[in-house]
This record gives sequence, structure tokens and C-alpha cells, in this order.
Amino acid sequence: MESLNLLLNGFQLAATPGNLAAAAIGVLLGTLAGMLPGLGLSGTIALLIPISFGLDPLTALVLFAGIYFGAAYGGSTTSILLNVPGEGASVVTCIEGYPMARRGRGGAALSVAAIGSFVAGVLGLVSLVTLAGVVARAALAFGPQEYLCIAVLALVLLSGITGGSLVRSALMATIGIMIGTVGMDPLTATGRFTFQVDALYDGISFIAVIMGTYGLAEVLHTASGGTEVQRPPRIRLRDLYPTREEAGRAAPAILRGSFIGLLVGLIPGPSGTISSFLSYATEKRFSRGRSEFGNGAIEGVAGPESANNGADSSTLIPLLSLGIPFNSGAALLMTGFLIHGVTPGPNLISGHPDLFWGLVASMFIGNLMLLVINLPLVGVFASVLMTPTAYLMPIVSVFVLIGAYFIDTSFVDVGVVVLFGVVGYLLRGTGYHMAPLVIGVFLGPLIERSFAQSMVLLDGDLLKLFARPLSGTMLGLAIAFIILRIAYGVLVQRRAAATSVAGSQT
Amino acid sequence: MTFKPSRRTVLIAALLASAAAVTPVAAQTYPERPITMIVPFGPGGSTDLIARIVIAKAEAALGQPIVIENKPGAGTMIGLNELVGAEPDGYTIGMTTSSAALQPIYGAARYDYVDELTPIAQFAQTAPILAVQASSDWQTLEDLLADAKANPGAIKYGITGVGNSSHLGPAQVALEAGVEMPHVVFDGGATLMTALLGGHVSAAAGSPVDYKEQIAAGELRGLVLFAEERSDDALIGQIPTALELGYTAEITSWTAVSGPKGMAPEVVAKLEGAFAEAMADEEVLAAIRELGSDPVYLDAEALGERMRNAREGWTAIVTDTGILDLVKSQTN
Repeated sequence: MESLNLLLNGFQLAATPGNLAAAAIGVLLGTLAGMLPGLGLSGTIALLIPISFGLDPLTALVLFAGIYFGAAYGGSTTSILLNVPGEGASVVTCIEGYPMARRGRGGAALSVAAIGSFVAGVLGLVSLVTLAGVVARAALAFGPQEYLCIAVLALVLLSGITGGSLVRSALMATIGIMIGTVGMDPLTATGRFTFQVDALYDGISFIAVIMGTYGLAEVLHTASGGTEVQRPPRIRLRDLYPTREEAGRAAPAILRGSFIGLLVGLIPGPSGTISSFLSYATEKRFSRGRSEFGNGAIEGVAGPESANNGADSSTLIPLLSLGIPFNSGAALLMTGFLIHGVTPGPNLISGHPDLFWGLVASMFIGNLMLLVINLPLVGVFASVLMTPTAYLMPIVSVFVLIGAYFIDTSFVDVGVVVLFGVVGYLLRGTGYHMAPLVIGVFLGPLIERSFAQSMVLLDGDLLKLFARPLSGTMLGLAIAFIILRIAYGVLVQRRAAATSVAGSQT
Repeated sequence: MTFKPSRRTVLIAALLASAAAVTPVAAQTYPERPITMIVPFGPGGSTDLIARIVIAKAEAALGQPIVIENKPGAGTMIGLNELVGAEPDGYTIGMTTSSAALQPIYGAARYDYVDELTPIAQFAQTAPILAVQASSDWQTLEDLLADAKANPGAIKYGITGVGNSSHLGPAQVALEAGVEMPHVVFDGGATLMTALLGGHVSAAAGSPVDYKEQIAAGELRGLVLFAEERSDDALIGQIPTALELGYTAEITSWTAVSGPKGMAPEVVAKLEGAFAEAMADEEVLAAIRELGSDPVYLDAEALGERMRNAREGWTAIVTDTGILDLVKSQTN
């Protein structure tokens, strides 16, 4: 196969000492960047761009690609160990990963996250190599009308994500959507709820919201004498890696998650976040361990982490073959390309075949390096939990607050983190979960914008949505899902009424 | 009696004398310490990159480092507001683009940036292109406009933000041609490009930086360039300008450096000189071209004139096309 030969050639180029070193450095820096909440991809790549000027184009690109994949993985470490999400896609990892760490299974969670990320990354690269052209074209078929329907479908699917009262979830989601309206109006760019504060013009930062809701709230909860963290006196080797049973449950979750991530990555926008949430919802409904969700189910870590990496990998397809970055991470990678005189796009493969295949090969190597470097380090990371809480919590709060400032070098974000930290802490145990609020904050603006765009494109006639095959199918699915849930609820109520009637007759 | 000053008197006198010696004769010795440059965009964007490329050379001429501070947000207003409020001593300067002229027109800006800033030098300029899918039937701008006239409201174009440089060009052309073309707002160049390539919008006006590759690959066709003259670039140079086709729509955006109002002329001249030197360097010019922008150097006076003319011209466009009304209708 032509592609295979070219790929092998690429491996030769990628395996030079210089490029291997660049991959290793990139992966390490990326992991660090992903671990430090708020700092993330943008700061790291921006800092390295001037330094990379002197490097050979392939080496520089290998460095950036390493950072890209490293950051995708790094966010899971702090999510699992400290309940501090480094980015939107790590939020769901907090929900199941952190309880696992509290139970002493933190190492297993970290390992599964690393393995799942590796599998998803490789699958994404394989589809890049084999299907790039086809997939990229397919991605273009999605327009604003399709995004609207996807967002609506996602909202419907994610509605029951935390179980419990649907009304309470709906209330939190609505509040989340309201928070999402702060900022620039998508139609006329006028400020809404900005109170003349410049920093609010771009909206309330989603990352700040999640850092506060999960990270700071957990610190406050622990500080107020919440549940004691169970720390085994010594981390045994088998605590570091998944048991056979856990591995058996994680494997299908990894595959499902990768698949979801690969698909969702083809849609512009925060695909990492959306795919991880969708994977979580899927695992919660269909996995073997679904009864454990909420207390640390391994599928809840395996699926979303794979979905996250899968989305990041498949986002590379439109980036490299069409030259369109679908999210900010891809946009930074693209900047790295442009600086070195390489313009990703339809001409990349034909114009710079060595560069393209060398880069793809080094991405395979980078993913492998991530796994090889991080698996042994799981023990080191997990031992962070051995630190006495009295020292750990203040360090975490400093970490979180500094990260909040670095999102956009603004103190407004620090304020947001503190506010949501307090709110998240107060709402614990009240039955009002923060997850639907978080979902509302990022899906709300997406829905509003797509709706506005669709209205113009459809000349105001929303029924035309059903005329488009893709939108129609998704909208139909969403409606079917709602009807099914209502029907199910009615059925359950009827059965309960019948049993109580029967019971009262005995 | 001899005059025998007390120790305390001597000390005070010495102190006063040394203070007098240190009175700022700032302009002659400028710059004495590092200069801060505010970039109202995130790191890695084209403005940020162009700034970094130029200051790498300008620092040598000035003898002091120039440190970039990224202050993105509110459509560059966060960074610009900070620049306006800074001390005009030459130690704080900042990058400006066409948004400095556009934002105040809509009334949401705290200052009229063109008046409140001292222009120093322009590094680059970029004019948007109106592009359509190469697979479409429209070979020229006239074809597109004829179609729009025959089917009012059927042809829609995408923009990256209401009232920004992607909006003004097509709106003005539509007004002058007397056709109805609704606009669709996207949240950025990338999502707009996806929609354009996928045929979800018929046309879009964007920077050659984004569109050049697609035009070269045969995916898109450029119909008109909203600049004064044709581009030097081999590919983009084939696209006619709006003026050639009979439309008064010049929407060139500048990437330039300015300082707060009230800077001493000697300080401005020194900065100008350093930037002129940097802009004469072939490496710098090549790097800017690589990013897709046109490395045209303008000195302080020429830049000031360009900014004022742009403000006038664009105020006319947004008023005539109704864009100003659209934005104002939401705020009042």
C-alpha cells in the first residue's frame, strides 16, 4: 500500500535522535502544561514558538505535536488525584476518577487513562492515515443547522447524566445556560450582562467555572472537615495498576469512548469536552459497572479519557487535510505550522510529503512515549495523595488560583473560580448537582449561535431542518429520546401505582 | 563668624543636589529600561507573531528589550483601554489593528482610540478577499451580484463578527449594487471557513492569510479584494480590487504600533527609527509575508493619517449600510 510505504519512510525520518528528543520533550512539556490548570496548551506553545525558530521544520512540528498530545493526557492526572480539572475535557474524569483515588484506586485510574488515551490516539492516527480525504469531506457536510441539532441532541442525552431529580437537573442546566449568555450577543456583538466590565465581554470563562466548581469546591469541602480521605499506609504495587476485573470492564469502555471521540472530533468547537461528556453518558447507561457510577467506576474514567484523546486525534484530520483548525488547540498547532512555512491544507500531503508522513510517524511515537513515560510514573503521581491534607489542600488552592489568573491574565477569572467554588461547596449534598450547570454553560452559547445562524440560512423556517438528512435524523433522535423517557416514566409510575393498589388490598 | 553648616544641612544639601542631577532629561537617554508592548490578542495569533518578529530586530536598534504583554479580550478593547491609560513616557506601547477605528464607531468603546493614541509605525497591512466555492457558477463578482438581484435574500454571506472588517466590504458592495444579501454571523475564521467550503454559505470575506491556501488548492475562488491596489502576491494579485470594479469599499486592516496620547516627539522619533530599521530587514519582511500579510512600513505621520481616513470612510460605510443601526438597536 502506497500509504504504508510512505508511513514507514516517515518513521525513518521521525526516528532520528533530534526528532526523538523533540518528541520526548514535547510530550513531557505537554503533560506538565495539561496538569497545570489554566496554563494549558496556548501558553506553552506560545512560549516555545520563538525558541523553535532555529529548529528544522520537522523537529519543530514534532515538538508542537508532542505538546498537543501531552496536554490532552496531562489534564487527567490532576482531575483524578485532586479533583482539579485542567481543561473542559477533564471534568468528567473528576466525577469518577477522584472517588477512585479516594478509595485507593488512583493508580489504576491513572493507568487506565493513559492506556485509553494511547489506544484512542493510535486509532485516530490510523484513521488520519487511511481515511483522511473521505473523512474531511464528510466533516464539511456539517453546517450550522447540523450543529444546532447535535447540540440539542447532546443536551437531551446529557440531561439525565447525574441521575436524581430531572427537574433539579433542568433547573441547574437552565442556570448554566443563563450564565452562558453573559458576554457578546452572537447576532450584533453587543454586550449582555457585562455591567461595563471589559473582561466579561467575552463571557464567563468555562475553564474558570469548572476549576471553581470541582477544584476549589473540593478543597473547601475537605477543609470543612468533609469525608476523610482513605489513605492506605503504603501504596502497594497492585494499587497502581488495574485489576483483571477492572481491565476487563475498561477495555470495552475504551473502545466505545475512542469511537465517540473520533466522530465528535470532526465537529468544530469544544469537541474534547463534548465527547467526554457524551462518553460518560454512554458508559453510565450501557456499561457493566453502571451501578457504581458516582462512587468511582472505572468505565467513567476509561471512556471519557479515550473520547477526549480520540477527539483531539481526529481534529487533526480537518486540520492537516483542509487546513481548518476546529478548536483552539488545533489553531495553536496550526500557528506552529505557519511559523515554519508549512501551510496545512489540501496541498500539504502533495507539497510536503516528507513533512506530513514524518509528522504522523512522530505522533505515533509521541503517543507511545506518553504511555511508556507515564505508566511507571503512576506510582509517583499517586503518592501525591500521601501528602497530609493540611499541606496538600493549601497547595492545591494556590495552584488553582494561579491557574485561574493565567487563563487570560485577568483577575476576573480568579473571582469566578472563587465564586463557583463557594457555590459548588454549598450545593453539595443538596441534590442539586453542578454537572448540568456546567453542561448548560458550554452548550447554551453553542445552541444559541447555531440557532441564530440556522434561522438566517433557513429563511426563518425551522421545519426545513427536517428536510436536511443529517439534521433531520438527529432532531428525530432527540425527539424520540424525549418521548421514550416520558413513556418510561409514565410506565414506572403506573406500575408503582398498581403495586401500591395491590399492596393495599392484601 | 564662619559659615559652618551642620552635618544635617550638608546631608540635605547633598541629597537635593543629587536629586537635581537626576531630573529626567528623559528624551536624550531614552530608552533607559525595558519597554512594555501590549498586544490585545492572545499569544500565537498573527498580530502577536508579527509583533514578535519585528521587535526581535528593533530591540537591537533601541538597546533595550521590548517585552510583550498579551491582553486579549473584548475585541481588543481590553488591551487598548490599558494602552490609553498608560503613562505617555514611551515605556508602554501597544499593537493596534483596524478594530481601533471600528470599535468606537459603535459606541461601545470607552475611548475614541484614533484620537487617544499616538501613532508610531505600521508593520503590515491586510485587505480581505470575498471568496466563493470554486465549484459554484459565479466566476466574477458581477455574476454573484446578478444572482443576488434575481433572487433577493437567497445568497447569504458569512462574517466573523458584526461590523468588523469581514462585514463592511460585502455590505457596502451589496448596498452600492442594490441587492439584498443577508449575513450569517460565525464565531471565528475557522468555523466560517468550514461553512464556506461545505457550501453552507455562498460567500465570505476573510483575510488572504486564511484563504490563500484554499484558493491555491482550487477549493475557493476569490472574487474581489477590498484594497486600494492589487496585491503583489502572484495568486492574490489575480483578484480585482473593489475600486477597479467600481465599488468604494477599501477595508484594509493595519498591524501597527501606537502609544498613549501625549508622547514626546523625540521619543516617538526614536521608536520610529528603530522600527524602520527592523522593517528594512529582509528576514523580517519575508517572515511577515509567510504569515500572509503585506509588510508595508508607514511612519508615524502616515499611520496617523491612515487611521483617521479609515475612521471617516468606515463611519460612512456602517451608517449607509445600516450596520450601525443594527448594532445601536440592541443597545438603546
